[in-house]
This record gives sequence, C-alpha cells and structure tokens, in this order.
Amino acid sequence: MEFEFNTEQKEIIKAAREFAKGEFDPDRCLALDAACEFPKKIFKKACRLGFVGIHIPESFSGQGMGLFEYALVAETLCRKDSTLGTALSLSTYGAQSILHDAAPDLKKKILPKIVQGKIQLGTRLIYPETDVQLPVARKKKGQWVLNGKVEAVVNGTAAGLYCILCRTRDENYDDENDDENYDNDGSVSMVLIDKKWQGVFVSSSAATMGLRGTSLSDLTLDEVTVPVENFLGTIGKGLEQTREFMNESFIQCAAMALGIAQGAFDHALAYTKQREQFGSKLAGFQILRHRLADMALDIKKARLVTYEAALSYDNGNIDPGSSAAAKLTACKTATDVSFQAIQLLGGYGYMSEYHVERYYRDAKMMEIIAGSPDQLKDIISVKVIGKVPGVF
Amino acid sequence: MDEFYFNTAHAAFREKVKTFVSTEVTPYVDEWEKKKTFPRDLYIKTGGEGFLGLGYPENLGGTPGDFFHDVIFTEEIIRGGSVGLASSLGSGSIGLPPVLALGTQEQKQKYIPPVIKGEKIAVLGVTEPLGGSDVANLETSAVKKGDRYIVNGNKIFITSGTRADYVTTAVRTGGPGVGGISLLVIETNTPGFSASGGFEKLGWHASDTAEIAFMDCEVPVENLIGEENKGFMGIMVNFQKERLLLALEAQVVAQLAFEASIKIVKAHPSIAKRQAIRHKLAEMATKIEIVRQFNYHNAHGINQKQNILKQVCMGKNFSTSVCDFVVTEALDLHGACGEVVNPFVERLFRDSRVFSIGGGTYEIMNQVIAKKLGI
Repeated sequence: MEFEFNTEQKEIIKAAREFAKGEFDPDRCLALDAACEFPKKIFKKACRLGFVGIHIPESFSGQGMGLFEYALVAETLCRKDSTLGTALSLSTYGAQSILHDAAPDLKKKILPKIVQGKIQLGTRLIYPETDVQLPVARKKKGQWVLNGKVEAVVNGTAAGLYCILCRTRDENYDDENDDENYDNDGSVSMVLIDKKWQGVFVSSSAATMGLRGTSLSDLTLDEVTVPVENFLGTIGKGLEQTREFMNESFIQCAAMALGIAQGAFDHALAYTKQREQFGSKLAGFQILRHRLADMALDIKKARLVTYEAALSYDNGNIDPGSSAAAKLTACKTATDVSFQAIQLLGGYGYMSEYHVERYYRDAKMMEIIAGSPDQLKDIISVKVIGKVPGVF
Repeated sequence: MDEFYFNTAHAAFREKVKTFVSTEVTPYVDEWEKKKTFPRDLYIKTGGEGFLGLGYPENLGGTPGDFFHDVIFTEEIIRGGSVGLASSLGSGSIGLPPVLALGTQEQKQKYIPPVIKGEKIAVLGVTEPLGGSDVANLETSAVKKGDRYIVNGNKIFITSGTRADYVTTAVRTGGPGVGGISLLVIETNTPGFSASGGFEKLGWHASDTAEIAFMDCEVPVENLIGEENKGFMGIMVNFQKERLLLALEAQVVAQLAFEASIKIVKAHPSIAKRQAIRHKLAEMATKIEIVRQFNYHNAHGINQKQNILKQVCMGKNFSTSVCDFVVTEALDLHGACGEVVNPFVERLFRDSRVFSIGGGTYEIMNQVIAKKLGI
C-alpha cells in the first residue's frame, strides 16, 4: 500500500497546522473547557479561512474536498488541542444528512449558511440499537405535529437548526397495537427543526465531562408543527438514513480521536524527554520507552484503519464495517494513549494545567457518543462474518 | 467468606459509619465537589465519632480497634461518593503515623490528640516539584542553627495543604540520599510558611490540593521526629497500610461503578439481553470480587503485624487496574443505554485515575515487587 499525501493534502495540513498554532492559545483552551464554552471567535475565523465544511461541495460554499481531507484537518486541529479542535470539527456534525437527504431547495437554503458559520446545526442521530424514546410526530388535519424530548443534542446550545429522529404516525397508525420495537418498523423519520418555531425549547444538559467546547443540550418539542419539506429524505426511512449518516460520522469521530491521541502522545513524549528522576530522564527507563513505543504503535494502527476507511469512502466504496472499525480503533486508542500520557506525567498529569487530563476526558467522551463500542462491534461482525439467519 | 474477616463488632461499627456517612456526607458531596471544598467542621464531627483515631492508643484519644476498623471506615467513606473528600478528611492517616512510630511521648501527646478530635489538621509533606517517585533525592533543606532548624523548600500535591495545622515534613539535614533525611513537624503558623491551592484537577475536586513553601522557616529542634538523618524510616513505616487502603479505595470505586452499571442495564431490558453486555458485567464482577478477597487477605496480614509489602504492592497495582477497567466500561455501558451524561459515574472515572499514581506509582510498585523476587 503506497502512501503519500498529494500536494492539495499537504497544503491543507500545513494551513490547518499554522492556523492552530496561531490561534489555539493553551490558556484560552483551558478557559473554554472550564467554562463549557463554544469558541465563537475562533470558529468564525475558521469559517472565513475555509476550515469548516471541508467536504461540503463548493456549490454549497464548502471546500469541495473529500472525507479524507476533512479527516486530515480534524486530526491536525485536534492534535494541537483536543477541546478546541473537536469544537471546530464537530460544528458541521450532521450537515452531511442535509447534504444527502434534504430536498434541493432546503439544501441550497441551509448548507451555505452552516458552512459560513451563519447558523449552527444541532444533531442527535442515534444508532438504532440504542434504547431511547423518540419524540412522536402525528398527522393532525393534514399537518405533522411533533411532541417529545430529545436529549444530548450535539452542538445544541449554539444551534438554530436541529437534525433529529422522530417516530412518524400518520392517520392510519394503530395506537392499540403500538409496537415499541425500535428497529423493525418503518416509522422512524429524520427531520429538521427550526429553533424559531413555536413550541421548540432548548435547555443545556448537565455539563459534560469532556468535549466541553461542544454543547450537549436537551430539546423539548411541544405541539410543534413541522412542514413536510423539513422531513429529510423519505418519511419512514429515518433509521436507514441514520445508518448512512453513521458510515461517514464514524470516520469523522475517528479522525478527531486520532488527533487527540497524537496530541496526548506529543505532550507525554516531550515531558519524558525533559523530566528526570533517579538520575535519568524518564525517557531513559526501559519500561517507559516500551510504553511510549506501544502508544506510538497503537496510534499508527489507528491511523491506518482511519485513513483506509476515509479513502475508501471517497472512492465510492462505502463500507459500514470499515467506518465502524475506524471509530472503534481510533477512539479506544485515544482513551488508552491519553490514559498513559497522564501516567507518564505522574502527579502533574492529574493537574489541568498540564492538559493531558483534558485530552483524556475529551477522548473518553468521543468513545461513548455517536456509536458505543458494543454497537460498533455488532457492525464490524456483520462485515467479518455476514448475517446469521434469525439473529441479524 | 466475609465472616472470616469481619465479626459482629465489626458489623456494628460498619452500621455506625454507614449512618454517619449517609447523614453527614452523602447528601452534600455533589455540592462540595462543585464548590471544591467542604466545611471545616466535618473534621470535628468525624473526630467526635472516633473515626479519626482508629487503632490509636486510648491515652492519645484513640478508638480501640484493629486494622479492619480502618478497612471498614475507608470502604464506607468512599461509598459516600467523593474520593477527594475522603482523602482530605483522612489526611491525618498519612500525616500522623510517622509521629506515632518515631515520636517522643511529648510529641505524640502534643500532636496526635487534637488531630484525632478533628480540632487540628495534620498532613504529610514529602513530594517536591522535582521529586515525586524519587523521594530519596528531596531538596527541602533544614539547617541547624542553635535550637532551631532553618527550613527552605517547596512541596507539592499536598492533600489538605491550605487548611493544615501540622505538616509532617521530610527535610534534608544531612548528606545526599536516604541517609540524610529527617522528619520535622512544622506548624503552619510559622513565619515563612505559605500554602496555595485552587488548582484545577481531573478529579478529587472536593480535596484541597496545595503547594506549600518554606522560606527561612524557624522550626524548634523539639519538632524533630525520631533521630536526625533517620527520618526516611518514619515515611516508610506507613507504606503498607497506606497502599492497602488505597487499593481498597480503588476496589470500592470499582464496586460503585459496577453497581451503577447493573442499575442502568436493568432499566433497559433490550440492552440487558445483549450477550456482550452480560459478559462484560460478568468480567467486571469477577475482577472486583477477586480484588476484594485479596485486599482483605492482605488486611488480615497487616492486622497480624506481618511484613507483606510485596503482596500489598501487588494488591495496589491489581486493584487500580481493575478499577481502571471497570470505570471505563461503566461509562461505555451507560452510553449504550443512551445515557452519555452521568455526573456520578463520571466522578468515579475522574477520581480513580490518580490511584495508579499517588501513594507509589504503578511502576514503583513493580520496582518493589521485582526487587523482592530476589533477581
């Protein structure tokens, strides 16, 4: 497998690296994390410079590059700072559902605004096996009316639009024989909600442990009238569309996790080269040398799995197993590497001032949102084994 | 199996501690974690129950008991929900043992009773900016001038440092290495002493973790604990107990994370059916149970006054590894049930991370074990 970045890729990595170096002030990053704040100013600048919407087509004001280039930028930004990098990289989370599933008019109206940072998107698209209640849209007098609650909407506080799932029950729906089995019915749909509509209420969730530059919010929907054009894709095909969304978003999360892992490693390596105990630099002790080697090797494996998934995706070879493998591998690596980075920094690793504990929190959060390890392994095992009658 | 270690008196003691924790601690931990402090009078309340003097001689105000009383208190205070609180409240459990082991009757009578009552706070001051694991090369100096020692230096990561009254301080009075270290009790109202806190940490939010500085502090020679240049013994004397109790803390944190996981999985029947989830919980339960039995076994050895440092170091490492495994899996399980925000389990995750670092790192434990293998 021949591997070298082309000119465009080299340039975008360089540009992202320089942007991060100039803008990601360490004290600012600590402050953002402490305050659970979205980095508005840096985000606006990132939009102006074209770092937001890397893989959105140029016709919608994006850079028109691929998922792989998105991954390279996300990795570079998250490497420089896990909190700031993820806040910027998650700002378009969910946009690809609009790109793939929205009607042309809606797409044209909204996507450029998202890419330019004029409006933000909040997203909660759950992988089908998660055991969560969805809000319900019923057809009343020819209109869809939505009621219910959605928790942990990514980017929810800053958002003006929300991409969520709901159950759609038209006039013919039989409430008496309501089948609560989430997965096997055709009654889940993907919908775009406007914050300005009557009946839409947003409240902040409890402060999260990590990824604190990105809010997680709760959305309450009280008799919200939803125009039919705001249903993305086909009514009833929400789960299928979510699976398609996940094929791409798993790779995005993997890229961010890869950056977090590399950044944590960078901190640990630098520290062990200068810190001395027992008359030697820490980087001179065999067990710690092996520890760093293990960490570097884990990152390398995660990078290969992630890059392969992203490149395959861009080549039209979309494989849920590859995407899931990327997220599973990269996120576990980020958690493991940042765990070890804390260990290598000793007591200092526990102090926020030294950053690695924040990488650890950000990594763990990335591991549990948007596809848990258990769910990911289910997807991978279908790829590896195939479907077994009666089970899947 | 527990009856082997705990008798009816122990059971009654456990009930007493449980009652105390459920009324004086658990209802407030969330608030204290958020405020990053807890009321000073908790020391008085805890001391009033006799919990700060477990196993200390009665003539010093101690509460008669064996090491399993310490085990029980540790388990129940951690079940209160904040490791930071427990560590800070119990700072005397590492600050006082050197005084008890090496001090004169006068010194013991002066320093121990007020701490046991909760009226004064004792802390241990050993770790320095340039020396964590490498204690033997510590640099805080104590130069004898007549009837005083003049102390200069800095200590970091001192639990309860900003509210301390007495610091059992490791200082260099002699040549380099272990053989030049002495212990001094330094009272914090000594001119030249300063403490600063408020450092943001991953966890232990309710614990005040301080940096302390000694600038030409004049400490009376009467405050020397044990003999000059023979102080390192006083630090080492408590290693077994300290490390065993840390292993127990890790075990209880794991237990709490496991209990939370069972609770949430039970509330989501479709998740509870998943074989991988069921086996994951089985793995968690297995590891916690084995760790528990090993720790109790070691506690028994300590109770019998045996030197089982090797086993205790093994127990610390194994307990912290199991805890690390359980807390990370617990968060994954909560996520699988659709709950990505759970402040309690997150606190267990954050608090537990320092267990493999404090009280002797994972790597230092392996150094000790390897040495004892005689290779």
